[in-house]
Amino acid sequence: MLFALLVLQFRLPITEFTLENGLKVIVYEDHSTPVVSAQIWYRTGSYNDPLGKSGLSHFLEHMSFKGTERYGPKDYDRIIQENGGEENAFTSHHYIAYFANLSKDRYELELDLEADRMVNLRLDSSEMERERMVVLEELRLGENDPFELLWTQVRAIGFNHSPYQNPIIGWEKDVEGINRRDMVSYYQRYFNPANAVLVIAGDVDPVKAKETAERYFGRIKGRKVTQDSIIEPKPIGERRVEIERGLKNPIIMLGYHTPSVRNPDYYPLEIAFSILGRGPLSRLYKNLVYEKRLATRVGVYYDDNRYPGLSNFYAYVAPGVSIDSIKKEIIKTIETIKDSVDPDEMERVKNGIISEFYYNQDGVYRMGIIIGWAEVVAGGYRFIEEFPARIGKVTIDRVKDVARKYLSQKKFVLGVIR
Amino acid sequence: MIAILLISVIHGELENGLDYYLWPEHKIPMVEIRFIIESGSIYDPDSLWGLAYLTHRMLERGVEGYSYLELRNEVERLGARLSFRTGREYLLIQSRCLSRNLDKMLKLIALLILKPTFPESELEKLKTEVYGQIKSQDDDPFMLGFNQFYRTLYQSHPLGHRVQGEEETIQPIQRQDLLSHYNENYLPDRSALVMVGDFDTTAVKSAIDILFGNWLSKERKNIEKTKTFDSLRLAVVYRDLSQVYIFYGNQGISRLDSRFFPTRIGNFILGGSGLTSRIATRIREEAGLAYIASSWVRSGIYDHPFIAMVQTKVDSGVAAFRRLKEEIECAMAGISTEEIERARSYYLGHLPLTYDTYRERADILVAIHRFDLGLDYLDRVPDMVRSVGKKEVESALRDVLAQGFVLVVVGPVTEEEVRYWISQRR
Repeated sequence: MLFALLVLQFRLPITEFTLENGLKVIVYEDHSTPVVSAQIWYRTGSYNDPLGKSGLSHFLEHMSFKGTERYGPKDYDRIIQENGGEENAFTSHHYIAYFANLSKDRYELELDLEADRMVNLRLDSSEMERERMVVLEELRLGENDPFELLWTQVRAIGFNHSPYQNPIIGWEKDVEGINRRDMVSYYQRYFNPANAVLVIAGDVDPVKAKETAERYFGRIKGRKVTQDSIIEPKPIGERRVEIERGLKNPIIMLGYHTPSVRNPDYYPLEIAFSILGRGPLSRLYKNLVYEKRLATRVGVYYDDNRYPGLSNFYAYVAPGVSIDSIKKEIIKTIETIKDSVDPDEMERVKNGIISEFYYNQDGVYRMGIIIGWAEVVAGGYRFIEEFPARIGKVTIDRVKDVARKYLSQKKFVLGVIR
Repeated sequence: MIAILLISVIHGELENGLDYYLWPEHKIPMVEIRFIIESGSIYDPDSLWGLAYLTHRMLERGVEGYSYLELRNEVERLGARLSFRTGREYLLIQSRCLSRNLDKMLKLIALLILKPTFPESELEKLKTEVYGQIKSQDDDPFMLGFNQFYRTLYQSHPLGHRVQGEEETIQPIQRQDLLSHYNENYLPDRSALVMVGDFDTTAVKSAIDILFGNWLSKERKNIEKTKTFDSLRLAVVYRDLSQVYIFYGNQGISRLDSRFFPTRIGNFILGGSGLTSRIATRIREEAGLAYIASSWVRSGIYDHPFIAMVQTKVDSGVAAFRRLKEEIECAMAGISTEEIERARSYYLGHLPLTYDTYRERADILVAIHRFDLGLDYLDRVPDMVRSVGKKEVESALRDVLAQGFVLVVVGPVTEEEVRYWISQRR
């Protein structure tokens, strides 16, 4: 095994501590360039949007750039920019995260601004109306992207109860109906130190970083937030959505219910997805694109989420090929992994996954993102440290078993856009 | 302000003219590699648009000793990455690998560049995939508009056509065309190798010499310069969408032009600084008309465009376009000292962030090579930023923005409706 010796004893240069108010702080040291990425991850996202208010988390992310008691709208962007930094925010099912990358002598600025943002957002009504228009324009961008539109619709019918059925950006009518009270209530509930993780990645001294974190966040009161999970019933058959858009290149997608990244089945399934659909040596590419020329492009996406999600296999259909025939061919290809996995194929895929893990350490922003994601989604940053060894230990039999368990011929969501 | 470390990049040139740039850094046991060849789609013959793209992509479809799948298998077995990026001016082979596999990866890259076999059967397979890419681009309103912008701006100049070509221009391309294109354009004195990461420079220099030293150079034709124009060119592409995609811009400026850097600073103020730019402030922050409202100055050896872009719901098209146009006109009228100071402050503070990763360092070296910026470029940036004043920025913006403009609109609107937008003033 190419990487076996490398991966067993892996430890990231991380120092972690928790402030008295419950704020977890993770310091990742990388002194190769004088740069720091400071990121704050709130343990909430679209999964926590109230019923009928989908998009609230994402809308709040937008509104958190619209001023606090201390700073006016746009001051945050202006201050970071005047200091040469780059900043942004993003929302997913289980997090709202903010970051700024700055030279090491300026990263405290971000901590100061985030501490302010944690408790002092104004959420002004007139700003909210204007920003709602911006969010709706962002939503329309997604509607005009064929792949994104299809994926949104596949997810929408893929779940009965789980909030994963809602787009992170929300449904148009829901976004239109979100009021200030909804937003204030959500903000007060979820934005507090005990519900957040602060990641400081880069050219920093952990002892000083602790003092700095304490200085800016220490006086904010923390409140533990309880979070419920919604149990999605097991899928019972094929579901289907077809969209007519007059496309030149139709897309077919098959969605399968797959386990959380916290489930041990995740690792063999991740390997199964790579064998099936990642890169020119994958079975779907070789069979559908290279040999039979039924598709012009294929791919897979694993929904690496906190709770069981929906993952997909997709293909861009070649001219003159029927949807039915390509669907059969995709299923036939997926079926092959239940019977046989070649040891060379297995080793090649493992090498790819593990080497990617090393390449990801190139750059403090990227490492900060991976650490933040692991903390709020995967159960802690140890996930990253253990990932290579866990992938390394997966056996061929486990890959076949999980493929049989999750990639059922009869229980998937079929989506087509043409 | 943190002092910028003097970078220890080694630059060398083989006798055949191949440049190489080596930036050793031992943080992670990996190496980032770029191989640049000045052979982008501007070198396509008139009737065979897409030839440069196909030739580039065909490199991996067969080399001496390896079929396509065998080569890919070898790359993956090494845990390496290999990708191809074809642009209008140049093409790139990009790779990253673990340090201990570097010599094997370099040998594979040398095979790709020096010993491609261009198998006939692979060409037909690749063509099918490219037809699909073209169709997907036409289904994507952003790519559709972007390609139309270049077509309308550059018209018959080789910069105008889509990098991938069109189905009808790809269809007649034969293996012999690939070979001719390869022989005429893949030349050592038009190429460079860039490496950043954990390697021994002496060993790498020797490997480069052994692998690429026998590559022969020869003369190649140059491309004519782009022609300027001073009118408004309009293209409207009807699509049933919930938004209109507006692209408004002009021929821009060459990266080699001394006004490029002041123009870039001017564009930062106009539309290149995210939500604080004038365009985003006016269209997104004050009016809530769009999610994306920005502008770019693209960089190339030839004139590369200045493009401003906004996407908005159909009813807001006229209001968004009017604001966009006014901001561009306003930028030509002048900018404030405060704005210049803010832009300078950004560029000075941002410098360390531009070379945080191996990937970013490799991209900087590609730019240093292509635009002859000098190995001390990163060290000179602070002085360059400080030396650009209000006068230089205003003058550069006036020159660039005074050229003829192109307006491309994709969405559920007619040309007549867009002409109405153009006629509207506040």
